[in-house]
Amino acid sequence: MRFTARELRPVLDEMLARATTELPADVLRAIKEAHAHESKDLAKKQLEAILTSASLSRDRTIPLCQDTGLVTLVISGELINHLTDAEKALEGGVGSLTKKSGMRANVVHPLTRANTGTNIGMDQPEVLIDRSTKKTTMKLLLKGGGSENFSNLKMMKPTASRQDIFEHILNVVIDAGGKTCPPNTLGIGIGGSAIQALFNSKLALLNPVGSKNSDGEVALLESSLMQAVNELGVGTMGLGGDTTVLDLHVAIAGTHTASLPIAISFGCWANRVVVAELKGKKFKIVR
Amino acid sequence: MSEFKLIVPQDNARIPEARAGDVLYVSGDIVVARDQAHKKLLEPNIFIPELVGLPIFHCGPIARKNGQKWTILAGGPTTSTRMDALTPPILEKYRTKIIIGKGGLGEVGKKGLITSSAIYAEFTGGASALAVSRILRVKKRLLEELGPTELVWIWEVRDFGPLLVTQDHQGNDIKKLVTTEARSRTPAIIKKYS
Repeated sequence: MRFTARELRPVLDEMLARATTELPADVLRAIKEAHAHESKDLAKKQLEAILTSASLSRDRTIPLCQDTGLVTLVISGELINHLTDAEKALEGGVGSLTKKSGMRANVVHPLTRANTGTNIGMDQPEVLIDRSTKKTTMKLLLKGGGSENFSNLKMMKPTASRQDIFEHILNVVIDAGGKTCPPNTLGIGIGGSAIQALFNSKLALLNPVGSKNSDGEVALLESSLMQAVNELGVGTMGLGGDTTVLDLHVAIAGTHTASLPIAISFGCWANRVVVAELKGKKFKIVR
Repeated sequence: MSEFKLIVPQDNARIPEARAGDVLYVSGDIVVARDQAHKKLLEPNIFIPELVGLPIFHCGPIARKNGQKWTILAGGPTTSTRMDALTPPILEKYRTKIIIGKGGLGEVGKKGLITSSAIYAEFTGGASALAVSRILRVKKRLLEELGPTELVWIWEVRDFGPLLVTQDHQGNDIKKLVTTEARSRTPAIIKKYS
């Protein structure tokens, strides 16, 4: 495959169509499990509504949520050398789907609030580069404003204890309450520069439900944080319940001796991720 | 937990009976309005009589025009706290009795609910296709100058729901209870897991 915008476009079109209307299988499974195990009536009713709605979306090929979000594409491997083509193809795909009313026109000027009408322009949609893998992949993320508005960066003191870190993360989740449309996927970036921490927290949202950090100690932290967050009882839509997060991923990076950045990204229950991987000469949607 | 099937605006007098924790299904006309629409609807030289007494749904849908007819493709709730400060004057000006959204109102909006004997009900966030399946007819498109995402709609709906009352006119607030409970649990949770 050559990585021209023209060749990338059909794959991206398919990824966009799927991301807007269908949940990743692992996310759907996790919501079904949450529904099966939920002990609170109100939360169960909400999870039921979510499952009904998601199945209607898939059957009728209509958006999972009216907030089709901002679009982020993360590229890796050989594709990095063809950034401009990836950008052009993504722009084409997003513009065309918006025109067909498959996506809501969300992109506005930050000061005048004038809507571009196309979801294109002023650096949107964004393409990010992931150098953590050699595989050639495209990972597409649609993220609504509700969850994005609770993105959080805190530059903690380097002497902060494990308890301080837990306290901060739990407080952020409590403050977000139902506004991030839980059950969420949580991405947590620890360390790096401020921007690396935020970047890592967002990238962490792309991991499939159930995947664990390859570093055993970080994987343990993921499990304890996830249990801690779920014991808060915030629950589906913040109405109280057993599942507040479907999964939680931590990504770390080396940081300055004077710093401890902690970044948190929330994915709403509709954590709309589609992943395509280069297999031989073709991109194949693998998730 | 009681369940109410309400026809609006005829049944508006019954609305104060609904309490936090109850479930509603609403039939009739509803007004779809979000951030900029609230601002606009409150301007002194603007008053739209046909919005009086109808529920307001915080939502910016995706719509498609086929010929002269508009179809709503996606229409779940948006976060209501952004409309918090604008809610009490809206309740007063348009005699609104039900606000539908997600995430709940803030302290200002909650006071408005008490003053205007209104309730706040949540539609499940993101359950956009479910919402759309309850729309019978798109009746009107108003204030088009606000752009495709922010303009005002009137939809005729049947059994729009489930809507969960989370804040009522007596000041009850389910979310606040959940938050208070979560905060009180935090120290023990930190001890257990960190």
